[in-house]
Amino acid sequence: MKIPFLSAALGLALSLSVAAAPVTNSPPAHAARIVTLAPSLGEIAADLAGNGLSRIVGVTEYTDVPPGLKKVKSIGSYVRVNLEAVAALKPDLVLATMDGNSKDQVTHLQEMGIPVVIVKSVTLADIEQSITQIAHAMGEDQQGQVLVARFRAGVAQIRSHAQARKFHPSVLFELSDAPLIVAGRGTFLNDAIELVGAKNVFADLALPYPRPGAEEAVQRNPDVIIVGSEQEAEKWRRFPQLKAVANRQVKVVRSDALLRPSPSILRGIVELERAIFPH
Amino acid sequence: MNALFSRTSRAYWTALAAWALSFALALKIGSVPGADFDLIYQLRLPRAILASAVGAGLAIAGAALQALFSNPLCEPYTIGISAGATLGTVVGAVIGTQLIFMGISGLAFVGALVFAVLLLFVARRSTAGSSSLLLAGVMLQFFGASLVSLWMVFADPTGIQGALSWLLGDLSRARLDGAVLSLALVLILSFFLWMDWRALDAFLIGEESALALGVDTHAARRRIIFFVSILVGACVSVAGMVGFVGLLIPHLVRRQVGSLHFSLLPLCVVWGAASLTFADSLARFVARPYELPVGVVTALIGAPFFLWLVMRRGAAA
Repeated sequence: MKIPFLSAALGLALSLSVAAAPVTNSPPAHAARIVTLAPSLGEIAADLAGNGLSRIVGVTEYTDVPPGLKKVKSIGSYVRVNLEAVAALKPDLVLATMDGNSKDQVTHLQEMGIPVVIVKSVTLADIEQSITQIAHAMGEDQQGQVLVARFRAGVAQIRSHAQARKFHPSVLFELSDAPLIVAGRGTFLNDAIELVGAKNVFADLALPYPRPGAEEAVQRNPDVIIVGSEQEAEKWRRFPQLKAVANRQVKVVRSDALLRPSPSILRGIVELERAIFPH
Repeated sequence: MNALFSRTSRAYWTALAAWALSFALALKIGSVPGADFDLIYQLRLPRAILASAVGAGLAIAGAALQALFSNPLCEPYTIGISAGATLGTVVGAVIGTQLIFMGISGLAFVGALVFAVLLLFVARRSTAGSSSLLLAGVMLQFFGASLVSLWMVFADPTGIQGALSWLLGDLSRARLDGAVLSLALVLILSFFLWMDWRALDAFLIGEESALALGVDTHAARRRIIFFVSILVGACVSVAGMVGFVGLLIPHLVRRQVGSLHFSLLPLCVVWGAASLTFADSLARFVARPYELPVGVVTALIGAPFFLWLVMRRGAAA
């Protein structure tokens, strides 16, 4: 007999706790207290701010490009920022990414009345798009156009090299070796591999960053394997039957820039290009 | 009689004072020194309320389970009921109903209930005594954890970090309206659980004697399992797997007022609220600017306590 009352109370409680729709707060025309929730976003904001680097008041860990941002107050890691620290900075604009930041934390900031601009950072096209979006939010549309033009020119230049190539090797891009995590379809790394004129050996997998077994990697037998360190390269040499191992095509690319969805990824892509096509 | 009354009432006052103190502390400290009103209102207050709700719910659930299974090592976490709720929540994430808060909470409740009923079944069938119940609980945890890991292999990698911190017990998702409702829900459920204090006392003296005293233990058992499952489901769906509050608090309160549930249960509610609020303050404060999942703090204190309990039982046997 108690149960009906209870379930009524429960139903009420749960239906009321459905989160309120996120409010979109618009930033001022010229945001002066910007907090960025990923290193790539810090870089884009800094490029747009030019000499006005002091407009950026909070960044996440490892935001080191441009070097001036190293001195800016850290608000924690991008996967889990410190909400108290963000709120205490009283930002008039927070830049967040859909791909990496916690959805719940971003919503929380919006609920607190802070203007948040959320960009997508999955593909190379997303990077271009996010520059425009952030430029608009910061009131720097003109500088945004300049950056986008420069980015497009950089992409076009790399593409022109690729078009001259006859050989299109298959590439395995390793992000982590234990467990093995590789670049899959629809990511900026996949775009980078294709841009330099190679093929991603795992482009057929649906997940952006899949975890295939080592056996699968051996069976696909890529022409080139890209790793992040000499130790990781050593692990692949256990498989002398691999074309990449036999032809000494296990290449170490140490490039933070290549892993960041920001304009300086172009520098990283050039490094990738040199690793895959040394001549 | 008078002396007894004053001793119990002193216990209530102490507990309420502890709660008030830890609540004030939770509002006062955090990663930012000298926080203003907005920040306290938007971030610290909801967390303190949610910590109170979850701590209260887990502590009373632990006390009830210890009586129900006549086993001092029981609590939602150690016997796997939290794992059931976690599994329910993850199933919710997979079938994509997490937009609706009720979806998650409902599934967490179902998960908790299924695991609780399984445990009850094991407890009845098993002749190996109380340790078999704990073993069954450990197995349910493994089972739940493996399915959760299975989900993680296929899940969107950007969601995994959030899921990981939630699995370790995390109160950072607290919002004021949700936290107040959680607290209200926990208090209502605790009241229903408390109404069965006679039956819970009866389980302590053994089921046959209880039946002889006229307590319908079968109906009571079903009710208690039901309420405990909703409590655990509610707590886990908002805070993830917070362990050991349900173990530690009932034991400490029993030392103070004895094993009878009329006073034990309400005191567990208050002390549970006080202790998790305090633990969450530590979680937010000690490693700032980073934040520890609160479940890490409770496990660091609770797991040694559990071992101590096990060794003491070994020595007594």
